[in-house]
Amino acid sequence: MRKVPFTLTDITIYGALALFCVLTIYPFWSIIVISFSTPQAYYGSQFHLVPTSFVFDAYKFNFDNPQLLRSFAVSIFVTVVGTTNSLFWTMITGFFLSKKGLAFTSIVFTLFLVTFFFDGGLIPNFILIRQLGLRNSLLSIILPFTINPFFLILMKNYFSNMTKEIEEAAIIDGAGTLTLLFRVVVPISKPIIATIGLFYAVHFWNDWFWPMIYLSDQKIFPLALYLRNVISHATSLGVDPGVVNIQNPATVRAATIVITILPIILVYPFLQRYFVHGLLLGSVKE
Amino acid sequence: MEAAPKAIGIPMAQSPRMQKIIRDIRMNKLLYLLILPPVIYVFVFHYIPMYGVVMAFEDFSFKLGYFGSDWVGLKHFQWLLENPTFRNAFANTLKINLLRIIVGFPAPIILALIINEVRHTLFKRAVQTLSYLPYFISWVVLAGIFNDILSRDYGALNSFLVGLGLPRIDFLQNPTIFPWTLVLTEIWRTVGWGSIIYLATIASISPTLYEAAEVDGASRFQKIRHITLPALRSTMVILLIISVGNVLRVGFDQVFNLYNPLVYETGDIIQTYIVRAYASNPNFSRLTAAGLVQSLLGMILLVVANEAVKRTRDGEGIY
Repeated sequence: MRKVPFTLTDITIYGALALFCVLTIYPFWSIIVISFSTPQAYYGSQFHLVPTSFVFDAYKFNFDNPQLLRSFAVSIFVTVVGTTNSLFWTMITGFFLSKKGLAFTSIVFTLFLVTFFFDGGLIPNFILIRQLGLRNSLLSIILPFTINPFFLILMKNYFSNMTKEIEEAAIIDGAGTLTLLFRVVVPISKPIIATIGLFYAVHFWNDWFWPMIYLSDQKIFPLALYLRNVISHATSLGVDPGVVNIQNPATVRAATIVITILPIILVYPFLQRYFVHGLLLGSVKE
Repeated sequence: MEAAPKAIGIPMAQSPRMQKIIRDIRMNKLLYLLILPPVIYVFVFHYIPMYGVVMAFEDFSFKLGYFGSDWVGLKHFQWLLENPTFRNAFANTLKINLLRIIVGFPAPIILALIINEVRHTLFKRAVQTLSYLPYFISWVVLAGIFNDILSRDYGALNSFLVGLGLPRIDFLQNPTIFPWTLVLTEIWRTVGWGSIIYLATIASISPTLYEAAEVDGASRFQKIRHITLPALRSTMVILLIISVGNVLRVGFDQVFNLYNPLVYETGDIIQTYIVRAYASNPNFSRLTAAGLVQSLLGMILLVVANEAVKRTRDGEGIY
């Protein structure tokens, strides 16, 4: 490679990007610093750039609260079950739609496509859940989100682009439908499965709105809704206001936030390398 | 079990089209069996609620249901159009999203152009990885963080401004400022994610173009101006149109978690109006009508946007 001199423009570029990184990290960094601060340290600092104290009080307070642990468990459950369910059916439907020459492909595709443009909105969905008897059941925040039409289209496009020749070869070799899907199509579709799986997982992990609408028993509130209640100072969340007075609400809140985003930050680096490939191939139509 | 397929097959076997369909089903039995649950799912969880929007034209009561409730025509829509709070929310929805598109659209392009100029692969990759991250964090969390940082009296950003000798800005409670707070924090969250497609498009540009330009003595900016930007044009058009089509579906999480009564005047949007009304004194039919206004507008914009994409991309739409 030819050696290119480092110019003033380069310095500006690297400087701008360094500033961009600082701006991206700072909000997360400051919340982490606050979560480990003593109340004195919290009130003594404006920027929370450098930790001046390092205590686990706020975390201890959080983990002593049985509701936080329950909500954490609920979120793990909903995310694992919801993502598995959604990914499985999105793959099945995407696989069906990627098949050429079936009598019903275009009808089924249209059925799902319509849901991309139009949905009933808050009230009709609420009435449906009520009539199905799913109110206050975790199924109410899992089942309605089984297939996201946008992810379905990405999956279908990816499958159609990837599988044509390989599929024909596999059929000649005598592979049945399920063998074809799980032994041939799925292994070569890792990027799109990782990308869409992460999207689904993030949806289930972050969802607070539908839980707020459908669930009334705070014992089964997922973490995101629990956090929302902590942040909006709702009184109904099961934190004893007397205890909050002893602790510093700001550091406790910061610790709750860190606990909420930690799983995403831990999983994210392993999946992000698939994004570009998965998104690009999924968005290309043949 | 032996007799069942025969019983279906025989009476319909007359029409050749039917025959073809039946053969298709028989040959792909397992596939059709697998697609059955998704089809039932889409009917129950999407089409029944979709049918439920008829209640926007009724005085809905749970006792009478969708079929028995009194038909009242456009009464609820009329009420909404005359209601100042809804009209304000409607106007804000359009204003905030217009601002979001105008200010937010160029941001990921600029970021992609800058990242592309970086020569150290490791640094480049680190910046990219970091830049996608905020996109995956929910607005519940971000609102919790930004409420601290943007606070008028104790917030880090205002402390910074004061340190520079600038006046304090009330990001969260001043109605004139609040839409800008929404737009800028949304850019902060999505700029990295938005740059993925642009960076991928830039990566697909043939290096020979740049080499030829270098031989001709083109400067860095000339290369961006005459090679990179023209290559990004069609991607830009598509993404711009998609964001127009999405105008009415985004933003609820952000606004609902960041706003407060002081900024309803400029911050309230249709969805937050619906959810607030739902929490206080729900007239289910009226709220469904409000939701329908929102979905219809969004749908019209998306269809118009897709038609426009088809025109610019040789007849290919996004769906």
